[in-house]
Amino acid sequence: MPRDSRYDILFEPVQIGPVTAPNRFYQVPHCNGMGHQYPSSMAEMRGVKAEGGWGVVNTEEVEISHTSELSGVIESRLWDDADIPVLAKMVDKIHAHGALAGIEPAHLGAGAANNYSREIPMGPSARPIDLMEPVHTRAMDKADIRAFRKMHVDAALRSKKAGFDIIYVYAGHDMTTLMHFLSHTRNDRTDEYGGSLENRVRLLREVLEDTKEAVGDTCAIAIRLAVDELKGEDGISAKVQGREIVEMLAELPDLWDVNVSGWENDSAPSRFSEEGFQNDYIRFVKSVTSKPVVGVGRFTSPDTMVSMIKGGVMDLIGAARPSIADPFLPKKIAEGRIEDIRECIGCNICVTGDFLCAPMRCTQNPTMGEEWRKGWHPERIAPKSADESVLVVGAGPAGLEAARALGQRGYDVTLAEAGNKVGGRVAVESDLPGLSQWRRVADYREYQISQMPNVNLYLNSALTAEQVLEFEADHVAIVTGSKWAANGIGRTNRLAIPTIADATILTPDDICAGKPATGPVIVFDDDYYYMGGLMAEKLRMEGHEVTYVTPAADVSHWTHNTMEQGRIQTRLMELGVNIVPLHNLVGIDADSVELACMYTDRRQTLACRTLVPVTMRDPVAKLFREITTAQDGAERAGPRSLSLIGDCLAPGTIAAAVYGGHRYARELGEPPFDGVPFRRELPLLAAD
Amino acid sequence: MARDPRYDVLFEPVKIGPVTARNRFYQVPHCNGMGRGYPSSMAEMRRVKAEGGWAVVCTEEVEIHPSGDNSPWAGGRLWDDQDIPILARMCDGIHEFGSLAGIELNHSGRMAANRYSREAPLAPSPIPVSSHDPVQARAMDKSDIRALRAWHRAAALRAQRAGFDVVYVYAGHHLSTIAHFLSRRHNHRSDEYGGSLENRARLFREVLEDTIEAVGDTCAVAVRFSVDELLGPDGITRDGEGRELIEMLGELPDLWDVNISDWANDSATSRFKSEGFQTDYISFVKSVTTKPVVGVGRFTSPDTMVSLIKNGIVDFIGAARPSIADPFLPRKIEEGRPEDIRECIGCNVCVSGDQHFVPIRCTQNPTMGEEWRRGWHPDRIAPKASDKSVLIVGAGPAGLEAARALGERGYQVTIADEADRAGGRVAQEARLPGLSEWGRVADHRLYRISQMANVDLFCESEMTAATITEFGADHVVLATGSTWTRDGRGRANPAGIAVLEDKHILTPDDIMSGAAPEGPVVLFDDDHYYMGGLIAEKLRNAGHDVTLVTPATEVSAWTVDTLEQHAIQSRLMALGVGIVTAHNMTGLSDGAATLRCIYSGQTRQIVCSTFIPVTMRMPRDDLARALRKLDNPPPFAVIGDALAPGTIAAAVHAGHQFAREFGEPPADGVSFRRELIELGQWPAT
Repeated sequence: MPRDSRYDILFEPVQIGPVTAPNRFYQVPHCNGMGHQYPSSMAEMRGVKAEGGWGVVNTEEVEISHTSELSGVIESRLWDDADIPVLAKMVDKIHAHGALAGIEPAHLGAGAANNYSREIPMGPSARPIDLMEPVHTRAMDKADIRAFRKMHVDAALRSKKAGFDIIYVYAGHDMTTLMHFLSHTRNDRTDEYGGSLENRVRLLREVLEDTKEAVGDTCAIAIRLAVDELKGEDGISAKVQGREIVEMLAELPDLWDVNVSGWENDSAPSRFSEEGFQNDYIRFVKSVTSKPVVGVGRFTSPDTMVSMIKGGVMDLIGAARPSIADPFLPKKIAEGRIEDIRECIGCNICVTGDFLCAPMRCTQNPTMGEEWRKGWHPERIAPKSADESVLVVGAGPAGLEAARALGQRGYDVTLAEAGNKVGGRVAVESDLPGLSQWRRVADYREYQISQMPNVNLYLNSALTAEQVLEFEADHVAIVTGSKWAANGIGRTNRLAIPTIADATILTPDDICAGKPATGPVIVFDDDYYYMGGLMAEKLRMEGHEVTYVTPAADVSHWTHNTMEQGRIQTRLMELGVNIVPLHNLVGIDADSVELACMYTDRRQTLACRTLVPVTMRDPVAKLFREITTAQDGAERAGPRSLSLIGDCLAPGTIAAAVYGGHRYARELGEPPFDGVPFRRELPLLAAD
Repeated sequence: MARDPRYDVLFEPVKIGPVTARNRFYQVPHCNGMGRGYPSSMAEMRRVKAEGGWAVVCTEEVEIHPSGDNSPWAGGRLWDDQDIPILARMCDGIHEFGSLAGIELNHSGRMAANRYSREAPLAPSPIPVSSHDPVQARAMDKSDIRALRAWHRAAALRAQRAGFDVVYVYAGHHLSTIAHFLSRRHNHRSDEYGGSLENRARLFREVLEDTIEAVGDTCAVAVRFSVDELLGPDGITRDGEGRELIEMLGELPDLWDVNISDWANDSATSRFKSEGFQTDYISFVKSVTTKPVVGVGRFTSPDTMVSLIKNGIVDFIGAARPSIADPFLPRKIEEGRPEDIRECIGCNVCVSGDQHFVPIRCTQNPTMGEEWRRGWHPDRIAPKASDKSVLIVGAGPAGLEAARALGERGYQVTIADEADRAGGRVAQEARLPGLSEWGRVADHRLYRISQMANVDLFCESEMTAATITEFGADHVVLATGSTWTRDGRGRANPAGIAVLEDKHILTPDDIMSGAAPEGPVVLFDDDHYYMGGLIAEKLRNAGHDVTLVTPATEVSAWTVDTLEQHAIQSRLMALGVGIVTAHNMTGLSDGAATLRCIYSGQTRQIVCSTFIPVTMRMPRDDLARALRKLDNPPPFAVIGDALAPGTIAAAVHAGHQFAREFGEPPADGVSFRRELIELGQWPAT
């Protein structure tokens, strides 16, 4: 189908200094947990985005020197010429589809501990580094500043050699030395690089000028600047210093890539911020410079994008997360099929890859990070290998994705769901406070399936083992999810928590199903992701007296990795939830619970009318076992394969469930793997 | 010099199944943050240990399958044949010196979140993984158990091909699926792999038998087993199931490598445990099996080692940390120079490398992890490049190490310190509760220097720009350390803490110099390593009313990486130190400290008569500034804390680096060798 003409504006080429972007879709730099460690995985992921229509595809931050490195966090690296081939491979992948390749060289200063190189970090002033490591930066002297400028020039020259079209100067997210110089709380120098804003901007200006001189003849020079730190008067703000900096440097770079800082503000999750949440901070920029401006805001709606351009907010639609959830977003608009866009849900699972130093994953896009190592493409999949039928039991995230991908392969698929709507846990959880966008996981797949004549969905269809076998599908996938445990077993209590019979225990499933709680409520969180905090939030908003107890040191501890922890704990405190960290729950009585300090084992008793244990989930695999039993010794042949997928195999994230469903569909009918089920790249052993 | 005959017993060969160790020095498996990620660095580190006399040198834990994927921890990996060359390189290096190479094969089960492989982790019963990752392990069915056995068998065969002499079956530290099956707390199965100890040990026995059958003809098969979990009746105990298990399997393996669990207990720091702390737990093992027994206990004294052998506690002196601090420990005993041993101080900075997924470091041994990439050898250094003389100002860890290493190179060195004794911060900090062994950093270097005719040490010798110039050395090194700041400046308060009146403020330096606080003490820890917790402990021990305030959510938060955090916070709570976490300190006035919640921003006040900020240190760089002002200053360098305050390990490393690089051509670009990822072909060929 041709594209809707109202979107034509998104496909206009945009001149950026000496180069021209083929359209307005701009993948801003973003980390991915692959970088220098999983180089072909990184390169292929970027190449697929170019194939999907992004006019500009950038790297993540790229370390420019061994004297400022983030190991074991995995970014890209351009320390010397030895690092060029990895990045050149990425560039080639991008150029193969006519897109521009951009690179974000970075010197992290106080943001890096240099744990691998063991070099001393440096910055504008002598301070402890930002990470909680026993390391201080030293204050840069003039020789250091000269060396620093040379590092940037060397990196720019190497970038050009690798083939990049756009070269950044990075002063964003409070992560780089250039931004640290800008900050009056980090920079207490008394020389010409400290004091007035003009002085603090000096180094940024010099590096911009150096870079331009070094490679500006053929490469566009972009600047990434945080125009607001959301710290009020303590930081850079869009009204004052942010604006002044843009005014000072307005015409110097070829492109302005602007956002809010720190990273947790820039990449705010949908639980706390809406699409377009940065507009009010960045819209002034276009009035100050004539150069093209890139902005972000987790944009997935083409109409919003058009209004961004027409409203003069930005010239290029920047995206990190939306390009991860759907690398083919631009192409889908171009091809007039916007309803096929797999919209980012704003869960920030992608960010956890970077934090946990492992390849990125995405809830919506199970092929993310798998493009090279497993050969999974986000839009293409091998046709079925046989004319076979598949019965998928359960239409949660894993079942929906399995049905969708099997349908795409051409299999004859029946999807049976016991409930009256699709989505499984996604349908339930997206009703929790702030999670409504998570519903997109089900919405996207439900729509896709609705367009496939070879996939039939049946709601209100609970199946017995006998019915499953009678159906006589060639393959049966059991995708029946999991239930939260009521007995308290989990990481901290390996055996059930001793319980008096008449205690009121409601699991998160019960609460989500609307079972009424009576206060005081105790939420015991031994799970550490979002559910415990959300239970406390929901019950408190319903007016109950709520105490949140966790063996961890803070609320929803694992959400540090999705950059939500601070916001979650703050919200609970503001709502008046009582928080008891560093305690285990060791006994349950009719109207009280007993807690034990994780350090001293000192006991205390808290009043409790309803206990909500959030500890672990039990796989729901009863149907699977019944089918296995029914088949034992039965004369009927039974299905060729019977599989467990998703949470009923091992409860995990929604991302893991979607991945499990996708993997099942990819592997059905294919020869089984012997050994490691993906390709790897290992260090090349030195000759000596 | 010939070795003392009383140590002869340590150098007896010991047979382990089909192989023979040339002596009793046994480097047990230990992580190192290099493994598969920095393979030649790992291999060379192990090779140097073999050169230093360790008869058996083992790997760290080595993954056998993607379903037990510890990424990003950079341990060993033997998933398929692609991984063999890295491990073969390690074996070759160890064999060069006639030592045996051991490998600790492991499937981590619920200890691995499988972040890279994205496989569902495996466990005896469904359970969340041990880290806080939102991942649950699934219960293994019979086909999974068969698969696990097959993976172990395949890995053992690959290990044999790589050249290993000793192949482990690992049931220690709670870190392996086999250990999880053994545990009543983890194993809730009702089949023949659950229930009785015999059932819970079934998988262990099967893997052991499989491994012996697969490679036992040429390889010794060792078991690593934690005989006590220190959990009382909830866990395995030396009097209970720990003993029963060894009785059950006693003669099956060729060697028993025994310890206590978990890792934090096995690798306890000197702050909490002394040399030999495991002996009481493991001493029964030799009475139950005839097979050789390895035990650990951070042994650095050859006399203690001899007594362990003679008293029948162990047959091999197991060591991880002592072999890191001194890879040449056995050789120094053999060569009759035990006083040259660089003794482990038990600080666990080595562990922090693994925890951060970066190469190991060591406070005592600055060459650790640098053997291959920088070509640094722990016992050899290039002779001097010229006849230049060097004056070092400051005899702290950086200055002493620079003097020692320059001295080894043959330079004429003078080292001057203003204090009445050498050691700098090490001398001070070693007097804090539990840190006495840290004094070894200075002791080793002072002893070595005392043996060198070309190094002169002067204490009580304060230097000025004038006396430095007057001294006339060809080169000057300023290693003058750092001082704790008084203004509260640091991560949480970059501009310092507002103090409205002249309050009683003491820094850690003041406290270590003997200053006494008045009234209720508020200690603000924005440093997060050991100092805040230790000052609180010291003052509380002295009877003061102490509250420790920190913006972190735990006390001494960084000590999670040295496996000490739990012990530190428990001790402070037991002592009655008040603890306020997740609060910044924003002001001090009218006998009260103002605290602000890092989440809600709400403020509150607590009584404070003495304020102790433990926030950051300022380099002592006044001499450097004075020298720079001279018209014709002598060439000088600033090293260690005087350049940028860090750990003692960083200071020693800096001193060593200076000595290595002095007079050598400067490095241009990356100053060490790297092994990069080899790009795969695309599309596949």
